[in-house]
Amino acid sequence: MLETLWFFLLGILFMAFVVMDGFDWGVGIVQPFLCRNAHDRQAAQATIGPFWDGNEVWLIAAGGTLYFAFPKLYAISFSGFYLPLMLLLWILILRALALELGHQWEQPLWQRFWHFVFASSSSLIALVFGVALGNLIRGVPLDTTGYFLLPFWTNFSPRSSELGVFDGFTLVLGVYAVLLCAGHGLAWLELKAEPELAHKAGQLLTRIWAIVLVCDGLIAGFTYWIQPRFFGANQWVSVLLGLGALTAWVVMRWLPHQRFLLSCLHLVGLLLACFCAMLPFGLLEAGSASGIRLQDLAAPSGQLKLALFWWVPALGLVCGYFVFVHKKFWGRILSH
Amino acid sequence: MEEALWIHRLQFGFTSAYHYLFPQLTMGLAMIIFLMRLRSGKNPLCHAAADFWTRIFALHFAFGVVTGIPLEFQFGTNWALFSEKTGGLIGQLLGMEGMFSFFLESTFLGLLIYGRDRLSAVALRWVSGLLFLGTWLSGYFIIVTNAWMQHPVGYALDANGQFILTDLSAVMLNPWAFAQFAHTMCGSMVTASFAVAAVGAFYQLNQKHSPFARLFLTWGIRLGFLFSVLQIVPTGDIQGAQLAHHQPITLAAMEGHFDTEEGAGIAILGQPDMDKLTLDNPLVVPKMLSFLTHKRWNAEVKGLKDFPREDWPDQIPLLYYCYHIMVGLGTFFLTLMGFSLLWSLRKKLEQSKVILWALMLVFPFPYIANTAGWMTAELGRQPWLVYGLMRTHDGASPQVSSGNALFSLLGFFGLYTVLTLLVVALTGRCLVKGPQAQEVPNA
Repeated sequence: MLETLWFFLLGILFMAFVVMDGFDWGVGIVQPFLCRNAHDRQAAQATIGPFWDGNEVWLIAAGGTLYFAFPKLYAISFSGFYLPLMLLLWILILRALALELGHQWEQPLWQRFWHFVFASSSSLIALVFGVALGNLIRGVPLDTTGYFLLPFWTNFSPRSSELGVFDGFTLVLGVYAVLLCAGHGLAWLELKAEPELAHKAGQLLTRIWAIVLVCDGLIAGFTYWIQPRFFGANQWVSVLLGLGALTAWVVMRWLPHQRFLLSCLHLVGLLLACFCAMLPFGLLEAGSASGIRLQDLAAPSGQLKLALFWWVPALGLVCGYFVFVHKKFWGRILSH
Repeated sequence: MEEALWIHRLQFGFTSAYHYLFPQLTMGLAMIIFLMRLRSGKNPLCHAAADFWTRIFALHFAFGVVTGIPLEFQFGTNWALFSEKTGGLIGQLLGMEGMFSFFLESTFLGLLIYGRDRLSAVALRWVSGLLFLGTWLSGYFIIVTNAWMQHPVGYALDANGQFILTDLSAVMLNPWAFAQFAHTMCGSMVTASFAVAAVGAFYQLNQKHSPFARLFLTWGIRLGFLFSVLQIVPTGDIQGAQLAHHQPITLAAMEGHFDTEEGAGIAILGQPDMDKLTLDNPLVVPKMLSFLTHKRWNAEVKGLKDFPREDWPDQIPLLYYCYHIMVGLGTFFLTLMGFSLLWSLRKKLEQSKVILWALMLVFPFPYIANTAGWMTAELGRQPWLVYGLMRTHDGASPQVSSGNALFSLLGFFGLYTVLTLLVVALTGRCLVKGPQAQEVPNA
């Protein structure tokens, strides 16, 4: 019971991370397509300037919570995905440098270079997180000790028995994640960027949403084919997915802040579906309908109870910070 | 397995030592900036000075953040068995760091960088105060984690060898952590105040930004002197006594003390010879080690030879040198700052080219001393991850091969080389541009 509660609390952190950091990856992904000149690129980046660092802390908080609530899951998954996590770290470092160093020197080539790093690292991060989610959905090849190590890639046939971190299925989910974040970033830009840029973002968003709508259906089918747990034990998960898609459709003609909010809800719906489909397991085994149960991965219940006492107030405090900062930067953020 | 273990150790050691080059400056600067904001009512120059140092702070803070994220990941990627066994305990401490201090820091730093013109003078004071709180809190959670590994308290071991947290307040109030935190933060203040003094000396010698040069020199020298003293007495001294009591093997290895003696002398210089188990070319102050550790001139100090060999730290010469470098530099800092303070009080500092040059050039040495200090703590804890309870070779990830680990280690070498070039170039730009006198906050 307590394990399930913590699994959902962990879920809240991951969702907050994807929803918050998702829009600032999205700004990076769409920057090369949306912005024609240095001024526009700067204007797009200015909308996430005060927020991106705080947004990324959700990842640290989620990692820390995973560490103490499910130490075994943290140990198994982090060492099992050794190389992809190292690459992810390096991309995160480069992206942070792009955001923090790009504006330190008014030199056109310097800025051009960091804008490029920002766009490519943002896209790669979204891709890698999509791939990571794909791996968790598909499951991993656990050995007798309960540990695993996945090669980077083997072949890209989606039903091959030789699994890799990057394979047909996970790569498709990666691309889907890039698309979702692109949409999310556009919704953010429509809400927060300078009026002219916001207008362009809104137009592009409507087109992206049309593609996302089609993809929602295709990905749902593909996922069911790879991992029948989805839409199996938890039928209502598919209902959630359907609702997500439906909102996506309605969103097209709404006001910017409603479109952004619904983009958030769509992401939350998708992630919630994944979390629900995992239960009662914390880590699925590839090619079987089972995995390692949550209670075998969790810390002893006394510790989980104790942690609630500081964790819940801390989350309240964090929400307070975010409300405060977003109020301080309310409205469109204009670059100088 | 043995080879992989080496690479895991090297990688964690390298990435954490490199990371700590940034927080040791920013934690110290956070306090100095906050103090400058508090003084700015009386001395308007302090506002511009605080703004200038906030720019340096923000730059180094960003590097601290990006090099810090790999550390949290590496507990799981490289030390999976350690994480599995201790996660429920030290994971909570690291989780608290994330929830209580990282959000605080990132939120208010973002506000300070991007919303500077939206803040009044009072708000600036508050925000820099919160940043100071966030960075020092963060330091405390890390120290509590390390202190638990050095001196485990408040835990129970279950049948599977899993560490269970039984008493959170005992862990948070670990006596080891207090001394270690005080010593570490004084070290951080030394790095920051030496940097402030060095920039002041640089402007003074260049005859540029004169009012700021004098301000930085005064602040840097006073704080630098104060914290150089506190670094030795009481914080360093308390740590030495704790070590003598709880980790006597570590103490013997640090001092290069092989034979048990009454009235043991302390080696100032000398090279440990691990084949003959002696100290070559020793320069010894008689009876000093006994006095420093037990406060009695004739107390017995046990030598390494009286401890089982498998419990010796595995890098004794390196440990010995790191410790001696730290102590040697600490003594030098106190001397230099003592003279500078004297000259500054006699108002002769601005004419004394020798002292100004020394102050300008000395700023890298606190970094070396802090790094050597941490290496002493970490090499001294060997061969244990959790002192006396879990050995280092039982903690590494079982299925990560040495080839995979070496790949990532080389990657970090490459990436951190680029980071070094960038931070040096950009800090240089900030310094050349200098403080801007017209920066006055909104009313």
